[in-house]
This record gives sequence, C-alpha cells and structure tokens, in this order.
Amino acid sequence: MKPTRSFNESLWAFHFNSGSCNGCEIEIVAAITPRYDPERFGIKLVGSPKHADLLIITGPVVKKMKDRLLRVYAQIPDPKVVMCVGTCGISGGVFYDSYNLDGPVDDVVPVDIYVPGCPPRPEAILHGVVKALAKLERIEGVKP
Amino acid sequence: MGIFSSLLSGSGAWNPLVWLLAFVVAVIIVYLIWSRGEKSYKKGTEQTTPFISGNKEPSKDAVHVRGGNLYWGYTEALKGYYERIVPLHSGDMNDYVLWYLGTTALILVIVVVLS
Amino acid sequence: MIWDVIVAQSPALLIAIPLLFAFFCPFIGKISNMVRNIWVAVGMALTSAVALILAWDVYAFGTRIYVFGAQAANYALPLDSGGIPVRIIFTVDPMSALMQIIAAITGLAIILYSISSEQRHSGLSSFYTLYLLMITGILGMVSTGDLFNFFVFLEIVSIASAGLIAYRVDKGLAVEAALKYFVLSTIGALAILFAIGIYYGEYNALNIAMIASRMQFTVLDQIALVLIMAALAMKCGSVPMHFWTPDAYSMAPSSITAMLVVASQASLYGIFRVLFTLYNVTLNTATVGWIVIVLGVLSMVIGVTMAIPQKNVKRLMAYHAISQTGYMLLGVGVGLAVLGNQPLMDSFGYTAMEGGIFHIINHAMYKGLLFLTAGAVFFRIGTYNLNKMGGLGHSMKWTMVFFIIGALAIAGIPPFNGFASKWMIYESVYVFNPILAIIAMVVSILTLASFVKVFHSIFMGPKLPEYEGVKEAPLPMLIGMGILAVIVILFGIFPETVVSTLIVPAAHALTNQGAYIAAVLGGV
Repeated sequence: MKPTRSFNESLWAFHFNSGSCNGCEIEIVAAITPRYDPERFGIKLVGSPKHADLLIITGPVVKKMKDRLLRVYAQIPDPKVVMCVGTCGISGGVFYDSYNLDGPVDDVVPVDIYVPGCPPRPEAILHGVVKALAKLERIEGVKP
Repeated sequence: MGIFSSLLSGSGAWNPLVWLLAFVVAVIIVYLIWSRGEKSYKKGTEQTTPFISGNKEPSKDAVHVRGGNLYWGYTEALKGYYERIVPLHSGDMNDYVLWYLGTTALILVIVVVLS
Repeated sequence: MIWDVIVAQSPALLIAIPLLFAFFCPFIGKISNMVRNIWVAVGMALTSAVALILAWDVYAFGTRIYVFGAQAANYALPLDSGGIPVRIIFTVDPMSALMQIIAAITGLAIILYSISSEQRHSGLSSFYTLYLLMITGILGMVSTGDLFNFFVFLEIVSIASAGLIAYRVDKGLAVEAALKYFVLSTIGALAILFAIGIYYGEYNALNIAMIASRMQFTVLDQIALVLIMAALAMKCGSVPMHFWTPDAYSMAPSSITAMLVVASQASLYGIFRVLFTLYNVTLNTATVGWIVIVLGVLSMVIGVTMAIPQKNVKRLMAYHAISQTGYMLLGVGVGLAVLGNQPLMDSFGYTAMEGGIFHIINHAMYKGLLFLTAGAVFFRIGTYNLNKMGGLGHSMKWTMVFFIIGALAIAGIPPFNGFASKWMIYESVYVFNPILAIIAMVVSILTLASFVKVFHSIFMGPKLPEYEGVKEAPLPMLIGMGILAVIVILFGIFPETVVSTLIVPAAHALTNQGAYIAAVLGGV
C-alpha cells in the first residue's frame, strides 16, 4: 500500500526473538515504558506481523528459527522496514561463528537499521526506530 | 398487485419483497465498502496464510473439526439437562409404551377428573 | 364431459387409482424394472393430478362430499335411514384439500427421487407396492368423513410404513425400528378403536358430522377425546411420546422418511379434525387448548435440544421434525384455547391457526427436502455419521444448495417459507402469552445452530482423501429435490397469496363446525 501522512504519526512494530539471551528484550521493554514513551510518536508493539510496518529482530538466528523468521518476514505487508537490535544480530556477538547459528540476521532477511550494543540502551533503540521511520519515508517518498 | 401484497397478522405486516429489496441494497453497500479494501497484497504467498507464530499452516484436512465435536461447549454447559434427558431415550420399547400410557393417563386425569 | 366425470368422482378416484396401481405393481414388476418404474411413476402422477383437481374444486366451490355406494355422489341421507348417514362418506373440506395437496406434491417428488435412489436394491416391487399403499392410506385419512374409516386408513398407513421402514434390513436395525413403530402404532390404534366404540355406543353413528351434531360433552366423551388425542399425538411424534420417531426416521430409506413426515402430519390433521370438527366449543377449550399448547412447547424444546448433540444426520433431522411439529401444535393450540371467544379469535386466534396450518405445508416441503439431501449424500458416500463426513461441498454443489435452502427455511430465516409461518405463529402467540412466543424464538435459534453444525460437518472443510471420487447426486434425485426447493422459495416470496388462497379457507373450515355438518347432513 502507499504510505500516507498518517505514517508520520503511527508506526506499528512486531518484535521477533530469533534466539536471543533475552537481554535485548528487557531493554526493548524498558524502551516502551512511560519513562521513554515511544507511544507519543505513535509507535506501539502489535501481536501479529500482519498488522506491522516495522520488524524488530533480536538475537542471532539459530537454525530452528530461520524458517520461522522467513515466514514472519513474508507475512508482513509492504511497505516494511527491518531493524536489528543487539550485536548478536549484526555479527553473531558473543556467539560469533557458532555451530548453532544460521548466520547473522542480514544473511536471512534484508536489514535496514542496525542498533549495536549488548544490550543497547533504550535511547539507542528509540533512535533506531526513529531512523527506521525516516528511512521508510525516504523509501516511499512521503513528505515529512 | 395482489401477488405482491404483505402478509398481515393482527399486529404486524411482513412483505418478503421489501425484505429482498433491503437485502439487495445491503449487499450493494457491503460491496462498495469491500471494494475500498487493500488490493495490493501478494496472493498465493505467505501473506495470505494465517500467523501461527511463524509455523507452517497445517494441511486443511488435518484440522477439519468433525461434526460430533462442534458445540462441545454448549453440551458441556447444559450437562445437567442432557444427563437426565438422553438416558430417557433408551431404545427399550417397554419404556416407550410406558411413556405413552403414562401420558394418556395424565391427560385423562387432567381433562376428566379435574374439570 | 369427461372432465366433469373426473371431478365428480375424484374422491373415489383418489383412493382407487393408487390402490389399483399398488395391486398390479408386483405383477408388472415381473416384466422388468423399467416397466415397473414407469408404471409406478404414472400411477403417482395420476394420483397427484386427481388430488390437485379435487383440491382446486373444493377451494373454488366449497366442501364436497362423496357417498360410497349411493345413487349419486351427494346422496348422504337415504329415505329410510331416519336422518343418519349410513354409508361411508368422504367429506373434503378445504383443510382436507390442503393435506391432499401436500401428499400429492411430496409423493410426486419422492417417486422421482426413489427411482434413482433405490436402484441398487432388490425387492423393489414390494417397496413400490407398499409406497402406493401408504399414499392411499394418507389420502384416505385426510379425506374421510367417517371415524371408523379413518381408523382403517390409519392402520393401512401404519402397516405400510412399518414395512417400508424395515425395507433396508440393515443387519436388523431397521427391522427393530419398524417393530417399535409398529407396536406403538398398534397400541395407539387400539385406543382409537376403543374411543370410536365409545362414540358408536353413545350416538349410534360413525360419521363425524353426525356425531358432531349430537355431541354433548359427557364423561364418556371426555375419555374418548383423551384417548384419541393421546394416540394421534403419539403418532405425530409429540413429546413425551416421541421416542419412536428418531429410530424410525433414521432407519428408513430417505425417500420414505420424507413420506413418513407427511404421514405424521396426517395424524396431526386427525387431531385437529377431532378437536375442532367433532367437538368444537362443546369441549373445555381452555383446558384442552392448554394441553395441546403444553404438548407443543415440550415438543419444540426437547426436540431441538436433543437434536444438537446427535451424530447421525438423520436422527438429528428426525428430532427437528418433532420440534417443528411442536410449532404446529402451539399455533393451533392457541387457536383452540380462544375458540369460543369471537373477538379474541378475530384478533389473534385465526392468525395462530393459520400460522400452525401454514407451518404444516411448509414443514412437509422443507423437511422432505432436507431428508432427501441427506439421502443423496448417503447415496454417494454410504454413511450417515457426521464424524466421518466432510468437504462434500466441493463435489456435490447442487445438493449443498438444496441443503442450504432447506436449512435456512427450517430455521425460519427470511425470505423462505419457514419464516412466513413462524412469523404468524410468533405474532399471534405473543398476544396470547409472551413467554410462549419467546420460547418459540429461542427454539428457532437453536434450530439454526443445529443446522449450521450439520452444514459445516457435511459440506464445509477441505476435500477429504477418502471421498476423492464422489460425484454429484443423479439427476432424478436432483429433480425431486428441486421440486420441493422451488416450492420452498415460492411460498416464501409470495406468502400472502398462499395464505389467502389455501390457508385461510382451511382455518375457517376447521373452526366452522356448522358448515361441515351442513355439508354432510344438508342443513340439519
């Protein structure tokens, strides 16, 4: 669908854990709390990828999660952006080159935003989300 | 015309042609709303399958709910009633005849004795 | 000329034609199957034609009587009889004509259906003989004006139906169902015979009009009323004497089940004839009316609640037949309860009776259609068990469409005919007592629930691997179902025409005892 001006005021995110140690999840939850309050930007977590615009992936992609990550990515309607939170997704992190992984995230799905950190601070995660929003607008050419 | 007039009861009227007209209008409105939906999804890919936490959708005949299992909640909720009524339909002919004779006797008492 | 002869002799032809065709059916059957099928189809078509001609004549020109064995068809009172009609008289008033129309249409649809659905079975000469005998019995039951004649035709129907229920022996299950039906029918018929004996002993007459003109409501009459009412209520399947109905309806071949529905309604007609024409206002209308209403409400509620957990599709439909009979009893019971009171009758009593009577013809049509679709499904896949069926909507599209029409009609969804008659019953019964109308509406919703369950189980879902090669039902079966479906739709879209042409004369004829007696006894 063509993004409209309402994309400035709402970006719905779906969180996918592809085998993380849960540290990045705790920071994402902290980022949603009223202290940092992303909901004033219209950003909220949704329960189904079919409602989402943004896919937040944490963790390195373990073998069992690769198929499911591909399916969830395919179920998100266009236009979509993918954000990878934590160094595990960027390069494998502490699990670099492990026997259990199917590669870092960008070997499986195309990633637009990387948020490094182990775990990254909530401010960094929010910064990544805002950059994702800007990238979405730039991709589709929506006037801010 | 006579053939298209309404059915009248003492307190109301029913005309199925008016109903059909209303139904057609409703279908048209529904179609107009449906046609404003999102058309740009990719058919036949994963975008049309249900979201089951990323798992593959099982084949349809593995998840078809058979007839006897529908309305389980209803029969469970009314278990007190069903536990009393279903055994009465025992299949035993003696019971059937007794029910018939008993009902005849009851109606006899009500009509003949009590009036 | 020949038309006048046919119209004048039509009550006799009504019984003679199917009886003759039934008698010769085994002999013709020895020639070949095809000849016998044609013979039977021609016989049924002629019977239906005569029934429709007679019905048209009665609706156009009023009640007809036909005296068997007299100088002229309307020579009811011989000079030396002392004012008592001594011969057997058929009194066809508009209510009888309506029942004849029902039997004619259903019988024709079922013959077309049976020719295809029974083709794989043997012993078909007996099947068609018994079927034509059953038609004879039903037509006789609804046309006769003589009580003992009614008993005779009732017995003919019971015996023929019992034979037909047991037709597919089915390792003894069908025979057991037929035995239950037969024993209960016999005990009921004994009670009816006893009641007729009471009338004969009291009033020296067997003719309904004669007894009606002499009726005082003595204790013996009360006993006779209860005996006849209870026996006929058992025969039409009202709770709490309904236990034979699921067994018999589920074990019979589907086409016969559709005709058994009409036979049950002929027994219902018998109750109405006894209550309204024989007794009319002499009986205690409040008490007896409320007894009929209570029977109706019990039938509705217990019928539908027992239907929902069933796993055999024909047992489920049989319980629904019990439930719909409850609607008819409710409507006519409300009419009976206000019978003496003319203002109340005009306000809602006639509407209640018309709703109940309209429901009789509607029910015969859509219930017959539903049983025929169940039979079509069975013909292709060989099971009635809902747990084993699924996904047949892909291959049996016409059967699915007919099933949807029947299911929406029975649930009382506009614009089908079930809604029209149920609406009349709701509106009038609500004025009488709101709780009864609310119970009726709740039962209607549960009926819809039950048929949604059946629809999902049989037709929805993916194509199952075990039903890979299933094809649509054969064409004669589709035509039989199509006839009933067309009537369901037409009666639903033009209810006012149907009600004012067919139903209102029937309801008024039923309540007007004086007109009935005058037609037979000539103004006495």
